[in-house]
Amino acid sequence: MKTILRGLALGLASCLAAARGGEPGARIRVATLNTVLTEVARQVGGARVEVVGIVAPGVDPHSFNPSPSDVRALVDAEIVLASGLNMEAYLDRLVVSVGPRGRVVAVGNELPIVLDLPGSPGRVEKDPHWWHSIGNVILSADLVRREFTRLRPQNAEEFAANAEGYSARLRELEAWVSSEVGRLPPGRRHLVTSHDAFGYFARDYGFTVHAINGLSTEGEADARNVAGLIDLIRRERIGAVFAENSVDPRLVENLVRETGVRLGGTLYADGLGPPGSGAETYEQMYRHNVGAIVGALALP
Amino acid sequence: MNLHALLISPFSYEFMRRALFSAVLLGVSGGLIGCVLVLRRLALMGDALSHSLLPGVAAAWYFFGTSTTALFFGGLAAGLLTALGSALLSRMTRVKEDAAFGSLFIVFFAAGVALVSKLPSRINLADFLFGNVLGVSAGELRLATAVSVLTVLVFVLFYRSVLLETFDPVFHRATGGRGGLVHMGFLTLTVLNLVAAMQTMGIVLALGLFLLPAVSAYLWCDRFLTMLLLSVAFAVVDSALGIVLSFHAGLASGAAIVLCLGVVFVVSALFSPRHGALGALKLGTERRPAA
Repeated sequence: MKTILRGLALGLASCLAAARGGEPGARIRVATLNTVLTEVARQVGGARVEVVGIVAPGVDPHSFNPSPSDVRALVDAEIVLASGLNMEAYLDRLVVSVGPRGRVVAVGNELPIVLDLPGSPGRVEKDPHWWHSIGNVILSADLVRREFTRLRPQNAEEFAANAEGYSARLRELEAWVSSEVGRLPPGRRHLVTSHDAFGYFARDYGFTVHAINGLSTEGEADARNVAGLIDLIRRERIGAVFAENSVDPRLVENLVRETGVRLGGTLYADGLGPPGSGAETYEQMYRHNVGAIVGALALP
Repeated sequence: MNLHALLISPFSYEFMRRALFSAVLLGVSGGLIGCVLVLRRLALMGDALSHSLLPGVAAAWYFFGTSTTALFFGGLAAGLLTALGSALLSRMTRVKEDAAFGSLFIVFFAAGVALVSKLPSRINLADFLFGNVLGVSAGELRLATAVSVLTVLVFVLFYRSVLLETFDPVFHRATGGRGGLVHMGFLTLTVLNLVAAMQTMGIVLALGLFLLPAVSAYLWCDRFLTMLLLSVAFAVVDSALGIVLSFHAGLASGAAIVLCLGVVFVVSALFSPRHGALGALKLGTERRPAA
């Protein structure tokens, strides 16, 4: 009788272990709520991880609605990677109600330097679009490496090598961006765009951001702000304005009509682009954005 | 600040002129249609309709991408199906029109949500259909003009039919047989107006313009023609006031116009001598000693 019970208990324990996916040999099940973190997790984890990107490319993460299969992926994951800094306003409630088995890491909250919301210095709200600083993505790769190492210590060296390789490529990207932006005289570094997502990019490369809407894509424009932008474009002789992939472009098009300014192209503000967009990796996304910005603002 | 800086200089910007024209044009037709909706107790139709557009918009997006023309016709088709479908249902079954409308719109909305969850991308489709009064394009302004002129023409040319349709639809149906046709025509005009207004100016402003001026006017008048004219006047004046207010105070423009309309409504509801709340109170206190 005792042996049967012990057998049952052992069986149950191994079932539980399998359900948690925590055995040393198994691949780490990762769920991500940010397209950039999906890439970071795949790059750092390599063949040792299985990543489910819950917020798909091209989806507006500010107003994302999870489906049942999304919630299941979230519950089953050994680790959940989120943007943090209140980007996923629904996340706290979702975590409380579904109770994921794994740890939820809000990457933005772990970064050493985060920007205040524009217009609200000193307040508790922070700018959640941290991945527009390449340095932050390098930091996030190291953070993800530490988390993966904690879950699978035996693969520590592999994760470290992957993270180092990925970071090296990002540093190359950073050098390219610096030399590209260097072509623009400081007086031309004005970024007029739909919503205020490029604060970290602006900090790194000396731009000033002028957004039609506020920080979230759900804010609504007001007439005074739009009129101020038109005056600014005329006064500073700003060469181009930019639309964004997940925001209605009509307001930006009105700026173009009114001032005759060039429409510099569509920027990827809230994550990577969908397959076939030419911005489906972080590097492509960054090269696309910087190419569009520098290309349009450098023109006479 | 002098009067010129206060009222004229905001409109030196083209986007401000477009915002004003589109709000005034659709305010005129909204003020007219709103009167019929309020009197026919179809006031919540706009709200319901805005939800029922989703499957049409989703289908249009699937086939044609984020072209605003495609989204407009997709939304229009879904809206017409909902409105005309519920009118037919109310005629052919014992279900009343408000219940039929309520049922159909929520079915359409659910179909839209299900459709969106099957689409390859989950961008916020409503954002692309529902515009912003500050982002009105030349094409949208033409659409607003056409819809507004058509609406005014219909009200002028078919005033008698509109009157009968509003006050005695049963009699109208029984006598002419043309009542059904008029009702369907009116619903089509309403859907056209609402979808155009939502696409041009966003949902808050569209719903505000199609309800608040009419309700406010209803509180002041007993004659249909005066109600129509007063409703249009409220819509036009508050559109201009709201846009100027949003310019100087830095408020979201659609919301600013609706708030101006809301002030007029609250003031009317309180102070209208014959139909307002204070008037009723005064009458009540005067009557009590007599009784």
